[in-house]
Amino acid sequence: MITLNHSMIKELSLAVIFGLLIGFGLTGTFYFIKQNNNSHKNTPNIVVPTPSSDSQTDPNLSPTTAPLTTTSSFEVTSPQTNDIISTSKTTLKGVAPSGSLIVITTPLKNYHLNTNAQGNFSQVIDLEPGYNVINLTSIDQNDQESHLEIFLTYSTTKLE
Amino acid sequence: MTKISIFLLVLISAFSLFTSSTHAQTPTVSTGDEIQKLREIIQQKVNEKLQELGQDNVVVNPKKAYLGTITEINDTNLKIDSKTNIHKFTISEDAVFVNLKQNKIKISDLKIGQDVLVLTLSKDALVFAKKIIVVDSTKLTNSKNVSLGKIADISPTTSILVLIPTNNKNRELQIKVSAKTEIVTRENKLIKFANLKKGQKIVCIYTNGENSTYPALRLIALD
Repeated sequence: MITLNHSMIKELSLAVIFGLLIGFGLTGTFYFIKQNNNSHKNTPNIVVPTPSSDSQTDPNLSPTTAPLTTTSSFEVTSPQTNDIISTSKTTLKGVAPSGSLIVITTPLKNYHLNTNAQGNFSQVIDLEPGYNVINLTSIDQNDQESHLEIFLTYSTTKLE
Repeated sequence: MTKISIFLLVLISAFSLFTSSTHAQTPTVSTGDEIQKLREIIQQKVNEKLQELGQDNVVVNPKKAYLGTITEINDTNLKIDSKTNIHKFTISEDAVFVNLKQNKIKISDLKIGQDVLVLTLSKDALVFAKKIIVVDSTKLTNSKNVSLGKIADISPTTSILVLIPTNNKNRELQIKVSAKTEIVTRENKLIKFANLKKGQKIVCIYTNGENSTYPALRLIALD
């Protein structure tokens, strides 16, 4: 049986304390090294999309109020020129600078309307049977006139 | 007692050496969650953009009609000049040909130089002429004019006003207002001829008159 005297117990305690310190030190070092490795390994190279200029209109990406999309061009978006329409009425849709007055003349009637805040306009027009020359005039807030001409044919002839 | 305390101390120190592997798992899980969230956000944005692109896709009407003068014609092909473009068509086997009096005619009745309206159908990258109608193109025009300007003079007795166009101040348009003329505000409210004043800005829709006075179809008062 080994008997320990007071000085031996003291030495042994110091040895254990040093052992603990070394143990915790090594554990801590391994832990941080492993932590760093994991963070590098688990983070893939993700290309974060940068907001493009038109994404400013996306309210999810912009905390501020999205600016209104305005246009300086004047065009008819629907129907397209030379289209055959099978009904006597069709809806003319287009874009122009916001705040513009749009004047539409058809062989049958005349129409005028204002664009909305986004510069869009929409007008139901009557068509006469056959070929229709549709003239559109846009007058913006600075009194600048722009003119467009589209051709629509109203026909119920079966072409298929 | 001393033995037990030594044993405990050794046990604690030994245990501390084997604990590192268990602690490293927690941050890995949280990083994985963040990546998953990021993936979901990116997927959502991609879907939104795809939807936007889908909305922008314009459906092209396969049925078109073209007005022009015949420049070439044979049993299978037709070429017309629409002044802005030359259009070439494949004449469909079941094509119908119609003259000015709306009577059916033969393909051989069509001649170079005739004005025609060609009703077409696009199929398999070819444009088939399905119906060819001889027309009088002089009657297929829109003779209405639109002019923005200021009233330089107005005569209540003769219902004639003089309009100076904004885009050509050297020109004076004599506009004749009749009972058929619609006089409205920009908001489409009817007003009377008497409400129009000299110096007022208006938009005038008029037709070509026989003399220098143009019949007004609609006057739109802007201020």
